[in-house]
Amino acid sequence: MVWIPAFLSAMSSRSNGAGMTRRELYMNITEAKKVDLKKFLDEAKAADEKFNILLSVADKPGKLGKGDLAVPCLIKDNIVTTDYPTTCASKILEGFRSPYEATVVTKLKQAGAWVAGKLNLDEFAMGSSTENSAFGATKNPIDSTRVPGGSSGGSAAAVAAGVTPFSLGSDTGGSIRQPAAFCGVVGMKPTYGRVSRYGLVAMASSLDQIGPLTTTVEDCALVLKIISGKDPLDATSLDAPVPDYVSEMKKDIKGLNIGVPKEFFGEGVDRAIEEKVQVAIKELEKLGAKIKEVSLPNSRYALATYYIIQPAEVSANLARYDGVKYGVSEGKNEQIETIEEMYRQTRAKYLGDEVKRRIMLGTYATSAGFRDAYYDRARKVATLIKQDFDKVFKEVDVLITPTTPTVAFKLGENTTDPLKMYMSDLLTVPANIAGIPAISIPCDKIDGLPVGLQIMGPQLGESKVLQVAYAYEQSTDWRQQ
Amino acid sequence: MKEYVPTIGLEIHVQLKTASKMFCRCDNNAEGKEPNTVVCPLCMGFPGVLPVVNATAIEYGVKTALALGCKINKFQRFDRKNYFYPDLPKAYQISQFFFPVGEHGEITIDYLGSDRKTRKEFKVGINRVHLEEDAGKLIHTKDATLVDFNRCGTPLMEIVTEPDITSPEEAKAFMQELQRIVRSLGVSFADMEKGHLRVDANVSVRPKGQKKLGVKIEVKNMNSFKFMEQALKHEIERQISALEAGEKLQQETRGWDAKTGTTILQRVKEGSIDYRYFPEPDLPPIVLDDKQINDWSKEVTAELPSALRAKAEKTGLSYEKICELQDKNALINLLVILDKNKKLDPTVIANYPGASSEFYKWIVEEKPSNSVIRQVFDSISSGKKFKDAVDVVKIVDHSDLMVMVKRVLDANPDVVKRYKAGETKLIGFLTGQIMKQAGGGADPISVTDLLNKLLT
Repeated sequence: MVWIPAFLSAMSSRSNGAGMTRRELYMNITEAKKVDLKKFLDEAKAADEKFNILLSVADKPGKLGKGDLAVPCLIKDNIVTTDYPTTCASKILEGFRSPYEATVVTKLKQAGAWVAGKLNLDEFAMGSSTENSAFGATKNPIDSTRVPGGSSGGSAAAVAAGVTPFSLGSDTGGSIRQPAAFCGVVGMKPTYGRVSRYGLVAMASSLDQIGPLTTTVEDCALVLKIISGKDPLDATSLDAPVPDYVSEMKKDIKGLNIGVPKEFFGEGVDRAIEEKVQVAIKELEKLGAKIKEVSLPNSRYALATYYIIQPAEVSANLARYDGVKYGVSEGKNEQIETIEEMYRQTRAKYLGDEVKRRIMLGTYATSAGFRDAYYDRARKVATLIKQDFDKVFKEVDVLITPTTPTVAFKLGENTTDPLKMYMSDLLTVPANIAGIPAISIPCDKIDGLPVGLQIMGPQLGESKVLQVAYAYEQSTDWRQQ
Repeated sequence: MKEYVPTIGLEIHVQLKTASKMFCRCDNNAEGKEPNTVVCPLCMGFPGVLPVVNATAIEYGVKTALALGCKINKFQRFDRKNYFYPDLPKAYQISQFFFPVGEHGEITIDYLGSDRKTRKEFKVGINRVHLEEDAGKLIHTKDATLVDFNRCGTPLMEIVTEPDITSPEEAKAFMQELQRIVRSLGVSFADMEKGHLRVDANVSVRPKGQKKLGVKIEVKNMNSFKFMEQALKHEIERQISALEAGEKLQQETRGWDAKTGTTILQRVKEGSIDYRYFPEPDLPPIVLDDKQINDWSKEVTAELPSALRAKAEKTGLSYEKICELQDKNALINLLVILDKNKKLDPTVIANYPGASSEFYKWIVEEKPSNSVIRQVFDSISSGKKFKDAVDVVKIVDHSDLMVMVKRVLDANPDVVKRYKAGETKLIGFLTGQIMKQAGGGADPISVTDLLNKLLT
């Protein structure tokens, strides 16, 4: 019999939990001191019926181990597992089963968790609404006519629907934070290199990072602690000690300097969202934090920079899905005579539109004659964006902004306009370019739809980010509404 | 007919003999293994895998670049070279494009001319030395093309020379020296037949006096030194006769065909392929420190084959002999022996490389004649123990021999008479008689010496 103190403490501070299922789950932990895994599976499947959350799920209850995280959980289907297929929500990997498992999965298991299934996402994590999944869009549990955000839409929806204590997502330009904001849950993108990417199916390797989605900041701190750390299998993982985020986050924020970057407000951001965030900033000031307006002048180029670097890396990372080695293939098609034709038909048939769009953009941006003007220049601008953050973090401890320019939009609302869809990542992308940690936590609602508050910190400054997030969460009760 | 000048540049791939592959931990020795048995998710490019650089490969690359006189890039970074081919599982090759291990090198090659006597020398500029991973192999069968991924991820070092080579003979000399270098550095087995050392050549010819280089034609499939020399000779002649016949040459790739002894057109080059190189985001750059480079540099300098030849030349050995010994892998040993025993005559010892130290000590102390040394050396080489070999020749020492010679002369007065009358070839008969008596324990040259002395 094992359980997580963090989940319990989170539970005890929650008087009227958001969803009965989650509440029941926690009650199971507290009262029976064991999780009913069968019930867990039944509820996950029931939620899947309603919101199309799962891409695969265990057929029978598994086993929890011993450790700080001995609960069932669900993870994004671009993290490889040997127990379930890993499809990345793409036809081209339909039924694909990885011969090895991701480092984070091993870490979860070592901490006692049972991975009970895999969650829906935009195909290969490319998208901001989960509508790009080859296996159907996920619906937002708060309002099922709306998107849950993306690309970790399944991960956010599963937590919001109360079927899982936590989930893992991946964030390349906001793919954890934006859906967390849309679904009213906590979602964190750690510092680039904090969590091993080994086994995360690469989208844009220099930006991808795995992170937790949870109900509370404390749960987020706990999961983050478990999955963080240097991995010899990931050369980009950072060799820095992993602090006890749970105790670190409980420190008083009195005297902490919080920066409000002016570029993250105003044009492109809904007025109502701005207002909610301003109220949150006032709240933090009341708690003793010093608020200061700062400037990140180059952040206005972040989205443009992102849409060069990210597709460039995509174009190389997704070239391996060629029908030769694994996944779905046109290799047995008798009509096809040349290898080039096999590549073409396999990729044309089994990759989705958004994936193809980015492959083409990235191929163009790295082609001879264009690379200087696009890819090389984008990398230079990325350096400038990073330098802005370095400079600002000499003055302030964390930065606070809205997570998204709008609340969750309607299903189908942005599917015909990629640019409008891309704008959804306007405020989250800078943290990926700078490689810094950022969290989104619930901050009030507009017409019943959650608003996300984004807190960014310096490189490896997860503790400070969690500290401010926790202080805010404890002083308000949006989570409970 | 005009006189033509050939210009040759080489592009060489050297397979490094690290224990594991370039970016994963698979065994780097897949020789003779069943297809697709020396592979892992990483070298097969499965979703989610990440490369980790083999540090030894970097060391080997830097050492080779140092040996080729290159400037070392302290900032080491890998890039992605993007192209689709079934033997390339990731559809990009991790290679060094922007920051090769080393660049701007130059090496002076001294070698024995084809007359096997003359020492020749020329300089070759090294454009770059860079590291990359190898691809797999395609196996074409009647019904299908199969892929063997075993070789995927094997560390390769690519060496690109400047077009400074002016003859097939020089090209061969360069490749042989390169083979010696990578072998003495211990970075590669460098066996051409086994594909550890692969060479492609860019060949052009131009009329003597003309500055502008001729049309560059790439020659591939030369998997031995001999074939390379033949292929280059043939290609140069082919280009010259084409030009003489008024034909226009085009940029193309040709393959050496050993059966016909000709190069055969493989494909015409239509512009260059765009590999869309960009930095490999999965591998953070490695910054080498000066001390490390200096330490490697010292190790390399001590082991360079040209340095060994120069050292040997100072001992008075002939260049021809030095080259012969080096080809037999015996030069280092010889220099060590000469270092230890200053009294040894290098020209004598050069004929007996690779024996035990007691053998050389015996030569210094006993001063045996050349033929005795040869005899002892031969018996050692055929497996006899040194002590036994020496015992055999000891049966007959100099004074015993004198008695024996006199006895034979006394027993053959007629022969002696005829010899003195001019039938000098009879000395052979007499020597034979003496050798017979000595039971093979005598030194035939000493015997002849004595006979000559006694008979005049």
